[in-house]
Amino acid sequence: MDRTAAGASIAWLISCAPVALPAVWHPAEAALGESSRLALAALPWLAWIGAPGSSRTSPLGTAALCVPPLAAAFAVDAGHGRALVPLAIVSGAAIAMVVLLGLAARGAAARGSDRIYAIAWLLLVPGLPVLRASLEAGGAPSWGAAPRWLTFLSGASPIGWAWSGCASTTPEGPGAGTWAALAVCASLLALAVLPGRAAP
Amino acid sequence: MIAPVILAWLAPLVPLAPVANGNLARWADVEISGPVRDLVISLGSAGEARLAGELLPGERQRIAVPLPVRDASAAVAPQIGWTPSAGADPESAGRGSARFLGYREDRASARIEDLPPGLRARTRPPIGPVEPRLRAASLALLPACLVVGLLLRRRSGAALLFALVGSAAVLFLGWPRGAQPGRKLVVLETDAGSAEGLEVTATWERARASQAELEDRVVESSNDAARIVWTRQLGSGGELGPAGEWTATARGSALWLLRALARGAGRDRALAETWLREDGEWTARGPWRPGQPLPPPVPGPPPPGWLAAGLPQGIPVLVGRAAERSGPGEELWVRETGFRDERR
Repeated sequence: MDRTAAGASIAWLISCAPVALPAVWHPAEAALGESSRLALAALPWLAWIGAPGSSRTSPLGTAALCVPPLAAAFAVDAGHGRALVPLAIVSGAAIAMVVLLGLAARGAAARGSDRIYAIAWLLLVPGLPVLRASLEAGGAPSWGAAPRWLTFLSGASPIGWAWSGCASTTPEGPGAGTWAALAVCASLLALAVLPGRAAP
Repeated sequence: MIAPVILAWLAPLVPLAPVANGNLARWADVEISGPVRDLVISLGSAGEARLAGELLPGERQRIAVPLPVRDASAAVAPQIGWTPSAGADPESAGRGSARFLGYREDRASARIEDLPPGLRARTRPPIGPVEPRLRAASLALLPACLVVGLLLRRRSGAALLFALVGSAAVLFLGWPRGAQPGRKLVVLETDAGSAEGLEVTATWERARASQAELEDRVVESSNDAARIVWTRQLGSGGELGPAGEWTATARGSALWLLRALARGAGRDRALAETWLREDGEWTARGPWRPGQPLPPPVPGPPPPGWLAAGLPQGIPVLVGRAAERSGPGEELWVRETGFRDERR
């Protein structure tokens, strides 16, 4: 099994956990509470598929692997009584982000812009939400919430977007956060396919 | 003959009304001056009220918040905290302020206390968590989707097509079917000899109500250890969000909202199913429309055990389920002791 298949299998396993665990182990349902299973299922794919070197082969075929777990999470969220239209929008946006990030990682590897792409990915995908979480956790309770600009920027990260969706009990429609996260993914793709040194 | 024996055995399993006289939605007044963000008014382990949102610098507001007071005789002043605005000095005078003004008179509890003890002591509707889980067939399909997806991964078109077909199958097999029963139970408790009745609304872990509705109700929980958290949005411009509702959450507990009712409140509803207990025997009576005589006995199952248990002996009792539902997963029941069919 190649590295991409191994990574995809691990992402798939983590992605299925929010829907599979409560079905086989009762306390998991209470632990997950009201969090959106759809956003939880999307989170591992958004965190992994764009990582430099993650999907060097067949990015579309790899991205397609995320769709059945998202469909299962969609069904569970619908069972929790969540509105279908916002759920459909979140699903579509998550799949679009996974595809864009997969293509970006593949494009960066093919064009030899791995290093620039890696820095940009590190900053925009895991970096901003981690920075915000660190500041808020480290500064609590005296310093309160992170500055608003950081809150907005971390929400534009695909990971931050999915995380805020996990916490929300009422998923919203295509708000500014969704468009910003899509724009970040598209920017990473554009950066990855910019003319550069061709891979040997 | 067997039904009364089974019901007698079931009776201890049905939750009894709690004896505490507290109100988990006891109203208190708080005066806040901006800048204040994400206000938390806490009663420690009992719970708290949270107002999400922000009051801007210079804005001042007097607001009413529900607080989970479990013991009415020992209502203590809450602790108040909030998130300081970004960059504000936590020690400065411009940090904003919030001051507890006191508890309001608990009129809802007083009205409930005025009801006959028999009505107040009736068993509360049992309600459990609704846990929509993925169906086994849908769950079993997921690994198959992974294996085939990995095999087709290098052929993008085929992989995408299979992902769509597989997802459609997962959705079809896992889609929740039918309303989730028992998400909200409303029971109208009445007694032929009492001028007032009691409305009990039961939900699991979460209840929503406007301020006007809550001012008229007493809130209880099935689990005394559950921490009650009331939340509401603090709207922009320092106003409480228009038409906003308070939401109570209590992990691992049912929430009961109690309200005193005028007698006959349940009589104007068409009942889809009715049961009558006479001489210690329950008989099913089928559907009953208002204004009609109670139908004669018909073959049918006994009433739900939680409605038939814990009732006074030796008097007729009517139990019925309303035909209309005011929302998905919502059921309304009526239960009247000392029932007499005035049309017969």
